[in-house]
Amino acid sequence: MRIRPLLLIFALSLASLPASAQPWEKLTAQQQDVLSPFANSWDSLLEKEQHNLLGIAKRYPKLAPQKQQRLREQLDKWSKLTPEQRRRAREKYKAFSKVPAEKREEVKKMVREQHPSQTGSEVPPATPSP
Amino acid sequence: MNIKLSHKDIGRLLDRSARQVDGGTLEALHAARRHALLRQRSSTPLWIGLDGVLFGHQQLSRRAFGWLIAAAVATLLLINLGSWYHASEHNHGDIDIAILTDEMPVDVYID
Repeated sequence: MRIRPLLLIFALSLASLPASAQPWEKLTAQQQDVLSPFANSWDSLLEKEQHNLLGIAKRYPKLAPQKQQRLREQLDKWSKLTPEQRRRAREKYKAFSKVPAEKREEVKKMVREQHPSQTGSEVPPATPSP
Repeated sequence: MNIKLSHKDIGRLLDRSARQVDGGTLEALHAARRHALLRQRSSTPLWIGLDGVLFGHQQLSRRAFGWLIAAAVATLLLINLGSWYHASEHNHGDIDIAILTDEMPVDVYID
């Protein structure tokens, strides 16, 4: 049995082990900038929440400027929610995504009328990537 | 006759008996002892070097070393697979970005 390839796989396996939670100070300047609403609560977040947010910070530079702005506006509110509220919000969003487009548009129109200052009307609708 | 012997007494008697054993028998006993020691398995903990050398008294064959590494790799792969499954189950990155960049305010998704 050849040992060198096995040692290589062994090393790769070690390297690919999931990263554990990291303290706020260890984040890069870009990550801290995007995730600034979480500065105070970061260290108390669950590891999976941190992982999600780091994913958002990673993808932030690739977003269109309008979406970047919208994300910053919403992230502030998002940071004030409890993990349970965020979980329920995801569920509702997923359920809302399944509603026929016409109905969705009606609801959006209603929301726009009720909360004109809070809607990002210029932001093109986003759909979760597969 | 009922004589009580201490451990020291027994040791002394055994030493005396051993001195009385003839040379051939003594040599045979020595040889048997050496043979037994050679066959004795080491009970020291196994620390393995990259060349398969155990830091102790024994050396693993390359084949055994290979199997050991393969087992470690398989274990790590299983751990990774489990972690990946767990992470993908809880990875809401896509949906979070969709919610946060949506024209609808986050509030509408909150009770």
